[in-house]
Amino acid sequence: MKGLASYFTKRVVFAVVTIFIIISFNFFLFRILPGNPIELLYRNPMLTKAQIDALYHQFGLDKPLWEQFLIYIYNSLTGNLGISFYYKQPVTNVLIPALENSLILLVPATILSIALGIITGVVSAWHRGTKLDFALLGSALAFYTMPTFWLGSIFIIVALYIGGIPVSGMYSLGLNYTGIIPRIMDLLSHLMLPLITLTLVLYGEFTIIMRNSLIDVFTEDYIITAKAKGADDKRIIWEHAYPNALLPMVSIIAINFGLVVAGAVLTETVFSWPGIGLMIYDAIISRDYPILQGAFLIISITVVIANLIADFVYSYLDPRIRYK
Amino acid sequence: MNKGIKIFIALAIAAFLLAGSFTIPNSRASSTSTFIVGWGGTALDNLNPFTTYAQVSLWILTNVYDTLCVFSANQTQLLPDLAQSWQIYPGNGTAVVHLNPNAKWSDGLPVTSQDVNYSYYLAAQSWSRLYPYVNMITSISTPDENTVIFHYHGALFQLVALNNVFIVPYHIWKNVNASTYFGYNSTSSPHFVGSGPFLITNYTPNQYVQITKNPNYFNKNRMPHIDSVIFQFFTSMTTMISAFQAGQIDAFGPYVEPSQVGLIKNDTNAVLVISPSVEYFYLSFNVYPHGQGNPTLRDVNVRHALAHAIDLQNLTQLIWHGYAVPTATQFPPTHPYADPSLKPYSYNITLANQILDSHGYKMGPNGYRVSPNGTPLKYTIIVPSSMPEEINAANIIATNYWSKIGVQTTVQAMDTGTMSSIIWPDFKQDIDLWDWLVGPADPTILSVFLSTQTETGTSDSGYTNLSYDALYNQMVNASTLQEVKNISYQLQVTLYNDLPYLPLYCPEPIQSYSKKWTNISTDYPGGPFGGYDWRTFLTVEPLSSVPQGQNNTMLYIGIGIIVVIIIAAVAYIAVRGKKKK
Repeated sequence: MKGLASYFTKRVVFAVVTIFIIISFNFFLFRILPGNPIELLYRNPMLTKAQIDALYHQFGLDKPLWEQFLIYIYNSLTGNLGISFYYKQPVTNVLIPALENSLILLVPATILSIALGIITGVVSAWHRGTKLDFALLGSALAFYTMPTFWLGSIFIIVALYIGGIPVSGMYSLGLNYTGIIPRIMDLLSHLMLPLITLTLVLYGEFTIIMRNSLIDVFTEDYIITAKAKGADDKRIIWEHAYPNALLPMVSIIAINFGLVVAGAVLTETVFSWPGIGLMIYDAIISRDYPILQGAFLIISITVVIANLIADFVYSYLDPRIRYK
Repeated sequence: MNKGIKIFIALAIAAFLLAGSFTIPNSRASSTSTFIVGWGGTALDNLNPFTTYAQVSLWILTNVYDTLCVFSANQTQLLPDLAQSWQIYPGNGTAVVHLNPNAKWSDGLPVTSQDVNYSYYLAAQSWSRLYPYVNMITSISTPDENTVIFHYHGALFQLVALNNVFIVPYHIWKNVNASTYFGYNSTSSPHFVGSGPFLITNYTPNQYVQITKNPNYFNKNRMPHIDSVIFQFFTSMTTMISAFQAGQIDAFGPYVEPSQVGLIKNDTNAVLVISPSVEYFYLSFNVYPHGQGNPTLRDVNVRHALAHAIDLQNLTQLIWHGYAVPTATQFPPTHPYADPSLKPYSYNITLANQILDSHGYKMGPNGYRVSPNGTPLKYTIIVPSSMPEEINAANIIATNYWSKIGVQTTVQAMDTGTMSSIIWPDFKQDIDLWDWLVGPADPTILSVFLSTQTETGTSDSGYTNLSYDALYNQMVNASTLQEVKNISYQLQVTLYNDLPYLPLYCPEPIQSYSKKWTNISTDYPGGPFGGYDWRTFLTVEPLSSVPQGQNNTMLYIGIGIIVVIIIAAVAYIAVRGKKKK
């Protein structure tokens, strides 16, 4: 028990330190980007030098870099992510609704892709070398490598052909909903295409990892022993092989949590889904430092927390780890 | 497989398919008087008329606030808005404006000269976007509630001061910090107070803005025929067109690429709109005396040769497929200040070669020229990566044209942030291909070439000409509009000869709207959905019979049956598996 507590404490301290390093890194990362936000946001021949100076002052960009950094650190630690250069609103007011929208898409897409990945990975591994394995692995690889933009466009074309399926946005605009159910149904109808696209793009990776992991496990002595004892296939797979093959999946899922947020940029763009990925894309174009810092901070914290949870799950699944 | 996993998989599959089965019919048919316009241009930044720079914001604000005057479609005549009448006395720089006595705010209070005075006061602050439009005003007096007297210098007042400043309610705006105010507060009461034909009633960041007809709008002749307008924001043009084809939006702007015209033409429910341009593309040569680009570009003879070596007519056709017109000036040809006597440089490779030969730019052994002091005529064109058609144009210029006169050219596409960092402040580029939006009614775009603009991050050529600066100041201070026009012509001739910019072409905005709607004019520069036309939503109305939304009942029933079958199958397997154990 002492070993477990010590292990948890170490991981939590490590996560806190990581987050602090990320906060510092965030500040400099975007300022390395060429171009400055004032020139990009206000390309207007009518602006005078005095007005441009006023804009620099308004955004605090006229201060020395070290002073900007100290202000940023203080604000970040007090939960103040600043004011967006572009939207002129507190970053949290802009980011939180976008993050909520992203989660509506990402959470089900991630869960579905994991489920699909596990199922196809297990089936593929169990039937390795067969036509079924070839088909499942081939499909997984095809979707994994397929450009999101292209796949999304294909679904849009199909949806236009069928008719009546929303191809963009989160809700039908101009409607007066009679209750929460029609609103949710409308949301789900808009969610369909981006959800299918993102799920298909994501599941391939899980399939490959699950398949390969299982194939390794199938060569272990205890599997051969189980077979020799006459255990049926289902029992060998789900009770002996599957739990042991899950370890690499846990790592991949944790890493993917952050990547998925960033990776949804294309899906959100194709379907005009107003999420955080789309916002990051716009903010990079306009060099909106506060939005970028806020967004990357949220993503980084998500990844760190996901990894922390993965560590705990790992130690639960494989007790040897916590005592190392 | 254990029971928990089976249930999880069953739920996952069910959720996945249920998402699909919940596709509801397009029920927009029930709200026929809401017009939804898709916007694929620069995103909305805020709804504060004094700080916004986004065209879509200005367009929305045009519909919810009034200015004193508005411009006619041909941009030559001021029309009444809040001002019922006005007299301008150029001799002593005075304008007397009489407000419409019926004008009132949406909360019932009258619009008074105090509101006008305060709005111009805010516009004149250094943080205000509108400062350049009012900085010629020396004082404002308000002798009574309906009269405003402006004292100003320079005839530009008549072109920019009366039509650009939105009049906001003093009794609301005196309570906010106007420099940081977003412009719309959904939690305050009332949510929004304006005097225009519409009022802002809904704003969801990054998704849409809804404006709804103002029942108290004072100008009954301009009362909208529709109940509300929704501006929906898109980042992908392709998705926007798809949404249009799916019937989710009724129109879109500010433009799509020529390659996408086919999609619109194939849509039998779409009306294709081509309107006068408000934009021009150019090649900017780095002529900054202290710049770090290839110094041969500072020789006007080289620039003349480069201009003669481009077949502009052909290039325009290749890139824009007939949806753009070549230009010789900083204005689209239909602009009231475009000098009609200036024509694009003739395409003449022989002449271009002669110019270079006669000024000592000899052909090297590798087929490329070098200057008399040995500098090779080797240039890089930088171009925004977000403009694929312009990357194509730059490549054509490099390979099809300039290579014929011994000029070696490479093209680099990059994001505009990187471009900016190359150009300002050190002018490290050779040539950039970029664009400017041009205000449809005034000649102030010519300020790009002022010497002082090299330090504001506006001038990408680094053009420095004190005579030009002096002439521009003369234009700003001219006493009559005719004088303004004459001087603007002289400025254009100067630029035409000095060639810091080689203007290329002016794309005509390509837009579309659904045939379900009518009474949409297409003659305003920028088009009905380009963010400039103040009339679009005043005149548009639905056709008498609007088709019902598509009925996909069979589709939903079919998908529903599949969902039920799959859930039943998974449940059966789960139960069977349990029994086996």
